[in-house]
Amino acid sequence: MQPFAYHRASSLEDALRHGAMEGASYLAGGTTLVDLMRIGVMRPDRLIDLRDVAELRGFDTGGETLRFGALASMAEVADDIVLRQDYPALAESLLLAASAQLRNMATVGGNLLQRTRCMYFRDTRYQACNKRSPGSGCAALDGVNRQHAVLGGSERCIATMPSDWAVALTAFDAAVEIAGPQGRRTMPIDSFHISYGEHPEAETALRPGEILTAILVPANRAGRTSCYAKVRDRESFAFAISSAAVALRMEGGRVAEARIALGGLSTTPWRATAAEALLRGRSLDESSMKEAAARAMDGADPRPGNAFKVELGRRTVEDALLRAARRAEEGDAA
Amino acid sequence: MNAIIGTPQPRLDGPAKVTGAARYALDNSRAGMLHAALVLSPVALGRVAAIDDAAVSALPGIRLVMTHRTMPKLEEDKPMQEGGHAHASFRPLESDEIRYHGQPVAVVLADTREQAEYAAGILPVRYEARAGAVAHLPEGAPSEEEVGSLDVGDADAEWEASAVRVTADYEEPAQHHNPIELYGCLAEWDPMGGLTVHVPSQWAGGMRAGIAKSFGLPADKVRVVSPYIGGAFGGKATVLGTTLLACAAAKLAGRPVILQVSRQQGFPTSSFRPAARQHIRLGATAEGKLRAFHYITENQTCRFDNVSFPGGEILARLYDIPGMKIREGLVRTDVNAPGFMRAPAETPAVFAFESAIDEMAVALGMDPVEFRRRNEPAKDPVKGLPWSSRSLLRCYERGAELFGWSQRSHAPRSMTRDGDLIGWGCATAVYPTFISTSSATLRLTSEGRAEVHCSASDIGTGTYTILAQIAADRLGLTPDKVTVRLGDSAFDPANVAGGSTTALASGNAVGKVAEQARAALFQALTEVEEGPFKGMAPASLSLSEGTVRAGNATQSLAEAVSSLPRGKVEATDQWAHPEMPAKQSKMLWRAGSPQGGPDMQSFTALAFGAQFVEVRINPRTRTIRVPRMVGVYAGGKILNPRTAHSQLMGGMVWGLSNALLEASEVDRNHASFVNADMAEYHIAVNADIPALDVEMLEERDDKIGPIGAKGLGEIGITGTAPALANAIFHATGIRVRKLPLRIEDILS
Repeated sequence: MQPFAYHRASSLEDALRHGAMEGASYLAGGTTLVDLMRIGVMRPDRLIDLRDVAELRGFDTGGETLRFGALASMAEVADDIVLRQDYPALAESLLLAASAQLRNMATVGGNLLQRTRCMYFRDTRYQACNKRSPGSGCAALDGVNRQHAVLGGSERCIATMPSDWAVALTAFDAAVEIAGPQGRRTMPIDSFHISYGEHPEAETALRPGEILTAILVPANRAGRTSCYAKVRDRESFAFAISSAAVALRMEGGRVAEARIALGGLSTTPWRATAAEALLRGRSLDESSMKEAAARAMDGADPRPGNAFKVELGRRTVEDALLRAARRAEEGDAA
Repeated sequence: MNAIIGTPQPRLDGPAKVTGAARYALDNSRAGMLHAALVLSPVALGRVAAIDDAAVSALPGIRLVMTHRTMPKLEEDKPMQEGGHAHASFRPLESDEIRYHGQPVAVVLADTREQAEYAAGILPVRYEARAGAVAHLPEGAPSEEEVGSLDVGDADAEWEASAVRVTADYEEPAQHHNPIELYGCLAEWDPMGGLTVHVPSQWAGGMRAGIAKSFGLPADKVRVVSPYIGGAFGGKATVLGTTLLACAAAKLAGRPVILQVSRQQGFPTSSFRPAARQHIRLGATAEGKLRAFHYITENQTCRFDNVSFPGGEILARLYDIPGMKIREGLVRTDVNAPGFMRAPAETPAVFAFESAIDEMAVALGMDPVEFRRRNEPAKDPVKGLPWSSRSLLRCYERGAELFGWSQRSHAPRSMTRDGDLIGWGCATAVYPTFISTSSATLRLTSEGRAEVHCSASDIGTGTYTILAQIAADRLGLTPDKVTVRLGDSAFDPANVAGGSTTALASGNAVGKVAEQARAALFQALTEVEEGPFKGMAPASLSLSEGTVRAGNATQSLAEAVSSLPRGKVEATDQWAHPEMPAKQSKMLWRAGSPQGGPDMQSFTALAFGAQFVEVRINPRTRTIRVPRMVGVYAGGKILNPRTAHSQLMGGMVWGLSNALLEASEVDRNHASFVNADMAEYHIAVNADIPALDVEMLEERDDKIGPIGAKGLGEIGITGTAPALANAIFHATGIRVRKLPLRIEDILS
């Protein structure tokens, strides 16, 4: 591991001041950064530990806007009773991620910033990785790419965005709050993660020195009939091969509102707005579901190693729609 | 006194392990010890053109950079399969040549591990790469070397005459062991030129011989210490190249060196289960009697050694088939040497064969259990010898009963639950009973205790406990009065903890020396002047509950031993099966690995089991989950049902993992194993493991040796993968002939 300086910030101002220095990196739960430092993929010169910054802690699911401090742990947010009842997709996206030990350490803010699981990115023996060393190429394009993206990739990178939480947040039009040397700003989550295009090394809209301080979710009644479907080979402790966050609001047996976001299939959390539009006003049956699921995967650009993910993505959307519909029925019955 | 053998005894080493008192190899440290870090080649073929060690040697804490230029010269050692003790005959840093991706090219020594790893990460190395490296088993690649061949009857004629025929090809990927305890060692040279190596080892005596050979030392100058092992599974049976590097670096630096090989670096520097492919033809009569079995295989090996795991001769023992033709071959690839991994020959072979058997049952429209019943052989179909014991059908009967097999609707896609597809499958588990030999020493002490010494390893299997049980049984003691010391090359020679041989061989050796010690004690007591047994016939003495008795005379064991002139009784001997030729059993004393079986002179011995599994498949996403598994086994005498149960259960857990998850993925552009960490090389987690029911049937076997125990270390993993593939076929109607069994294989 490369030697580094360590500073434990006492306040947000203190953190921002130190974070402005050359080679600085913020440390929250450490479950991504420390791993990557150990294997030489990330080599910050200094770490600014945010754990003592009080205003980044805590969360509130009571108001018109749900607010999650960036340092709230995945475990404590996933355990929130309001979230479990009114936004099961959000709670499930956290509970289905990582392991209990990691969820205790990892933060909901850091979760949105976790780096891709692409094996070539995470192993410095492979020279070609545009994300690790811009311009060096991409070993995954014609390498082992079963877990890689079929949506949103480019000729420079097809690494998936690994966060489940980000996918569920995207379905609910969440926003992120950012503090930086130039002050504070808020941006929608679907512009927070950046499409790779020419520069896969840039993954989020965070500018140097900025800190993601909170996540905001506008209250939504469809949250109650939401679900997060995660497909993976292993029952637990695995990243998604494909996933879908779905929320439905049904009126008179027809879809009044559908929210669909995909994960594990794409380079950023992937909102399937065309599929949502297709369902609006229709009853949820095999044919409307299949049409919507197919539409959600429009534009997929698979490789031999992950070609099955186009069909699997469709099936995942269908599965999530069915489960959300079942929750809607159960809600009506109750 | 209650019976000790055959009762569920808790693990004697358990408290030390759960409290952290057990000291594993890398828990050791020494004053002045240096930490080693490896630099691995990112190219698979070529040579090291230049290493700029000056670029890192001035960094804080860096003490030495060892390259092929400075590496001490080693003597040759053969791989274990050729009678040596090396993992591979080609060892890193012996020259500038690079023969596989991830081959070590330099070792950095520093005061701390962090310093060493940092310098290793930035050490400038220039490579001259050659193209054309291949690390996967190429499609359609013909065998380059035949390593197994067996003919029974006229397989071609039987095939021609068969009314029902199945032809199918199967394939298994490379897999890595991934024990919890990482590879590595602490190497320490003493001023007299002796070398002590603390290394996780399945074979302290074998590793001692291999390390001594490599450094040109007499064996008694080397000591290998490995009392506890945090998972081995075959990967810690041989001397790894990295172990030699640590020893060489310690010699060069003149200081003790500790090397912990990281998870990522462990993939290319350790052994692995090679990729394999099988081409099977089965022929049967319309009534379900098997007639023909053709078995052609290609197994992956490296360029420099013929590592081979032919499983055909085991498959040939499963059913009564008059015509069998088995040809097993190797394909060379640019990888480090493959090696032993739990049931190395049997795991892939049984997957292929038991899948094919299920395909034949389907083709015949027959219940797969009934199909096996119709083909049960009365004697060994290969040698014509009687079975030492065989309970396969009883295993099937009991397993079917436990599982509720009679409720199975046999048509594919005919069972569902809550909208999910349900499939039930079964398969035979088998492992040959290899009969090895072992020596042991037993000492009765003046504290009234017994001390057993043997260099055998307890790789988590329960060897400490069963050896204590055996000694306790023979000596009329409770197991807590027996101290067993294992895993040290200074102790009596034993076979490698491999081939599921330890319980039988070392168990018989301990039983033998315990009886000898008891007899010696009795003899000596009758000669103690003024002792209570003076002048009695030794045969009239008995020992139970820690007390020596004869007639009305009694004496505690502690007093009895104390009364002897030497204050102790000691017996050392070797046990070997009477049908093992003396020439073979003597190899034990030259660090050999003598092993007989499955066919001996007068009998053939294998352990059998039957596995039943249920799969539950999401009809849309095709996610595969396993709600329950049943395994029923017969393994001769079960010495300790508690540790035996764990062995079998652990085997089935790995069987599931082997079937559904584990694959070392090869990047063909780099000829590398690319998913080299635990995040991407998936092994089963708790949530994957269903209700798992293991039962052991009573089975008496008087032929394999006095304690009558067949090895159970490896049989558990065999059979799970085909049972799951067969269940997936039952659920979906899709036959998957390639491991791991994945969502994409059954999506459409």
